[in-house]
Amino acid sequence: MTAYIFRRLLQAIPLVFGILTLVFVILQVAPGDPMAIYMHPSVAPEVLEQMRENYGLDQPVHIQYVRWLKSFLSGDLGTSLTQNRPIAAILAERIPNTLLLSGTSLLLIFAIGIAIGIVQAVRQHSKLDHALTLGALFIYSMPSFWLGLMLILILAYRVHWVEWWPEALKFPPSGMDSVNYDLLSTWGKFTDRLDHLVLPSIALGVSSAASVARYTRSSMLEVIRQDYIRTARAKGLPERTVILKHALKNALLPIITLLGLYLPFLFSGAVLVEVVFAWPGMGRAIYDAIQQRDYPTVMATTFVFAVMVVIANLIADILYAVVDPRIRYERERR
Amino acid sequence: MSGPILQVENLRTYFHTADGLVRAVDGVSFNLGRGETLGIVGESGCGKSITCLSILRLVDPPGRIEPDSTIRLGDRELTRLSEAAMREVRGNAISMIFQEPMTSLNPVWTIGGQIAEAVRLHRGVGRAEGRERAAEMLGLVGLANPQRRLDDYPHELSGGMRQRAMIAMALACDPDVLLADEPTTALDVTIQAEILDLLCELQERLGMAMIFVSHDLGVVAQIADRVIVMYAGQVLEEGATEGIFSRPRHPYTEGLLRSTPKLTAKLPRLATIAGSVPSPKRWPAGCRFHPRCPHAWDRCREDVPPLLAVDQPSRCWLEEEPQRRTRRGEAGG
Amino acid sequence: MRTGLFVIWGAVLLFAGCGEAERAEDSAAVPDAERYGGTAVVAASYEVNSMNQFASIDEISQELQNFVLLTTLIRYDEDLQPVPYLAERWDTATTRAGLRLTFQLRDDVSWHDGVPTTAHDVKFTFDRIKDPATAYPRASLLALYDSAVVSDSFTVALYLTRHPGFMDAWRTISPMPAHILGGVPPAGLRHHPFGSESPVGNGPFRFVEHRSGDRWVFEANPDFPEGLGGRPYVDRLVYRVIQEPTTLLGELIAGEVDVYLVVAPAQVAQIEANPGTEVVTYANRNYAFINWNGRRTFFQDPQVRRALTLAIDRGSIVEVARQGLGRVANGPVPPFHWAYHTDLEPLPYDPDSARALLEAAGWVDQDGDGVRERDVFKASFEIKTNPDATRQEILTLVQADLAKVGVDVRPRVQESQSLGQDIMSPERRFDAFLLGWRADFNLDDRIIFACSQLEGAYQWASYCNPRVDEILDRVAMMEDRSQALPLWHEYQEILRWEQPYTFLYYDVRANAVRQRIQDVQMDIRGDLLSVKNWWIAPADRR
Ligand SMILES: Nc1ncnc2c1ncn2[C@@H]1O[C@H](COP(=O)(O)OP(=O)(O)OP(=O)(O)O)[C@@H](O)[C@H]1O
Ligand SMILES: [Mg+2]
Repeated sequence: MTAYIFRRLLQAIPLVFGILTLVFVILQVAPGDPMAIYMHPSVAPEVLEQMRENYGLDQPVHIQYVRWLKSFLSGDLGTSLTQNRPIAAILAERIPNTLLLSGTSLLLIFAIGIAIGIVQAVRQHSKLDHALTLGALFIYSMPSFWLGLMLILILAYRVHWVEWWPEALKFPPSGMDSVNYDLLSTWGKFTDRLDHLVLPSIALGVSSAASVARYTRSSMLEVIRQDYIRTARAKGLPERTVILKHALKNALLPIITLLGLYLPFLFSGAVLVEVVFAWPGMGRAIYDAIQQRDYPTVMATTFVFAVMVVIANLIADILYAVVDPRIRYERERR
Repeated sequence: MSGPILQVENLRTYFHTADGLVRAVDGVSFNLGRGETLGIVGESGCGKSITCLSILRLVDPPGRIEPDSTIRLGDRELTRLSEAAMREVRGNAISMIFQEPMTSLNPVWTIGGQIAEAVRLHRGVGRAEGRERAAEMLGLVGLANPQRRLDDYPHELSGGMRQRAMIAMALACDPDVLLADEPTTALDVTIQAEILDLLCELQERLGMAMIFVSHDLGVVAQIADRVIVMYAGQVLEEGATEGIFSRPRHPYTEGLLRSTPKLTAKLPRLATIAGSVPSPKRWPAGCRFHPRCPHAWDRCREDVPPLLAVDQPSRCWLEEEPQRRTRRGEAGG
Repeated sequence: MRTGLFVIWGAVLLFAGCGEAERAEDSAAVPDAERYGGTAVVAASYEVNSMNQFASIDEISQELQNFVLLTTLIRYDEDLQPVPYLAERWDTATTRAGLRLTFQLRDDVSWHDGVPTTAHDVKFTFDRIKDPATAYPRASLLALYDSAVVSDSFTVALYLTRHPGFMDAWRTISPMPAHILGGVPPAGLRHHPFGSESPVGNGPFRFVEHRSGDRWVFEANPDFPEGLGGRPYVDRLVYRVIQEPTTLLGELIAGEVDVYLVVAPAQVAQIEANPGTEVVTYANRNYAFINWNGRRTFFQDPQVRRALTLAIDRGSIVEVARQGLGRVANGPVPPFHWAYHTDLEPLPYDPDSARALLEAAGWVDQDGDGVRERDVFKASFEIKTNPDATRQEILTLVQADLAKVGVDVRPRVQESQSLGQDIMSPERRFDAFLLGWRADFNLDDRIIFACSQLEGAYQWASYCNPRVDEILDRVAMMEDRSQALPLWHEYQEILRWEQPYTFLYYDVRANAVRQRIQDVQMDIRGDLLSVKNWWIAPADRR
């Protein structure tokens, strides 16, 4: 297995570099200039020239690329052209935040999606099943950006005028923690953080949760028909054990593949959701950087995202082997 | 010996499907004595499996055991048990093994775990004991190195080994009744024989009763004490194995015997019963076999024959009017 | 149109009035000693670039630098006249080459690490700004300054060419700590961790924390000299970045944000309706305009440009798209400026005259398709703008207005960077576009309207009038305002007549404030102008 993981990582390297080079080219081709934020009549053209020189932006594109690549390979991600600080420092602040948000979302997606899928499969063709199918379809077709705004409008805004609305169901509209976070107890910090996670993680995850539910439902229905489920029942196992132990683990196999597929979606979704919820994560860093043509930052964030996606796929792969002994067997033999 | 361990009476299992009522099992009755092996034979689709599943109440919706059906295990009426009480029966008092060893074991759990699971459930024992029992059972069914096999996954075993594991699983709680639904059909001939020997031996050793379903008459002849012949959801003939095979009374049984290679080895080619099994949605009126019966006459088309005669009952009007037997039927294919 | 405007101003005043009344009561009840404490949260949709004066140019960075973290040498009073701040006093003396400006600094201001702020910090800052290698974005502020000489620890003399408004630079430049940044090579100043990770200031608030994309946290500086107002009332000041206006509004209503800077016009009514929040408005330095590309045939004729302005109902643009937050503009000199021409009426909304003017200029709809043409040219063009809800709305209104006079407009919203590229390009890749300017206190419009700049990056109108050049050149060096005023007026009259831009409106800034924050004063000098006087009654603190 270790050899397998190692091989997969090696295979990912050219892919990641391909992506980075492509992003570099696209950024260079796209109109715009990282120094545009300084364009103002009171900023003399010579000053802009000097800035470009200070940043090495006056060099030909291929030289810039080679320079960037060199420092990148030596572990230096460079300096943000617009924030004027080391990109590594920015990433160190942002990555954990994005991981927290997308991790929570991922948990939500799979916990809720799978639970709903199971309920639907077990109660196939019931009213509940139909209602959930319809609901999932509705949610699935909602863009996360719009959903985020709606959540804010309703659960963080309108409810302030609804007297009977319980305080616990009013959520903060944005940010990762309250202003007085530093002054809270450990438990207070935890609940505060959780409170702030609710809306963005729902906005980010709910449509994927809907599709996980659909996949789980059909996969579960497929599995429930299998002979070994009858065997399990014939043993006298309670239905709960039959479903949760014997059926679920098999039904999860195709779902795990989704994990690897959803992560890129999650990250790209995070871009908009982080903007809506003022979540200080990587998504916003890349969004701002692209807007301002801060190309070293774009490159670095792209790199991190690409690596995260590669790792996520690897995790999905490993999980797949954990759940399915047949895969494990094949890989070990190879 | 006291009374039969399992009494099935007027068992009717219908599927209430969207496009009509499927009367898969339609009034089946039989008794299973303690330690006895009852063979059930019949063409594909005649309701053998559904009968077995009905006994365990494992028929999936839209299938349903109709009211007035009785399945008595000792002095318990299974059709009236609560679901929880029924779970106590499954895998404990009555076990079942299935036709497909390849798909009947859960691919993502170990053999040992799957066997121990039933033991722990019914015996209330801990993990270690369950595991021990599983190893013991694997040894019993003749797997070499049972301790090591415990942690194997189904895909690591051959077909024959899997069926042995299935048997180990079914017998792990010392059931009174074992329902074996074509346990050897999917296996190679040599392995088939091994499994059959194993079943016979275990049955003797453990003293349980067994229902052995097969459409291979040769196999049934080898293993069963008594045989019931099913057709179109009904029992057509019932009797001691010896009697059924040497003196079949029902034309269908005769047809079946003629189409079995072992017993008619001298025939140049296999005889078959003319026509095919009718659709379970519309069983023919009168005797359900009459469209395919070489002897059928008017009465067969109109009146449903009861199980006539006592020692080897047969559901055929010929029992009352033997003179109606035609030569055409005997000539066969 | 005047009436319309009056209503807007009235509403604003009325509202401010309510707030004041409530406050007066509270203020009386809470003695000064009990005003210390609490956290004030300021939020806006834009990111703070840096605390480094050498690197940033954005408005919010400058506000935080000059009002929160650092201290400027002087400030403006309400009449925009210089008053002492870090500099206790100053005097000027005429020299052979021009002027010597001597600042006498306070001796009781220290950097937050304890080191006193001295004349050396001023000289250091001055020298770096003048050094081209620093690439100080606003180096033009000191273009006519020559050198700085420290005469003692708290006295620094600056040598400059005489010019009007020479003090203005010192309102917006805060000295930077020489003891920290002195050893940094000029080209490296901009990347110094000082900007975002470890700023050390000498202002009323000390830097606590910066989480990128999230917040800046400052705390009260207890050592801030009494002479400058002493320790601020609030314990902590937090600046949060929340890009999405809806989210920002939600935070304000939820009470997590106390001050919401630059409220979207559509949200003003909601904030006013909500108990506990109010809107503070003031006319700021921005104005919106449509730039006509003077290299295009259609826009070359001042008559045509005037017709376009007459045809656009700017009053209803202010009403509809800005919800009344603005005032119809009549030229490039906004009302805050001392030379604003109060007697000059903006061109009226007069589509009939517009049609007549277009006809007179030869633009007639000959083929009856509703769009005028002259020779082979059609009165049809594209107006670009950046993705901004208000500007998009304005474009739609403009399109409708101009259609009524037979001019076809295709609105086009273009991503900011590529729009920037198009309008800055020497080929001037646009017909017209809608954007805004922020006018400097020390106004100098040569770069946007002078003939000498025709090939320059900002002469988007390709407008050239020798008389305007002459006026702008003269007022730029004329220190006597009474002498300059007639010239300034003439400039405004010419531009009103020739309309190189269609000046749409002077911006009115709307900020939302929770009423628990007391003594908030915001005006053209800055949103955070009074931040060290803000206070929160003990019962209202978080
Ligand atoms: N889910 C179902 N829905 C409708 N009809 C069904 C269903 N399951 C079984 N049946 C019907 O029940 C009848 C009996 O099926 P059963 O599986 O008992 O046959 P069998 O005798 O075991 O045949 P085989 O030898 O092929 O195993 C079949 O004809 C089939 O059409
Ligand atoms: Mg069957």
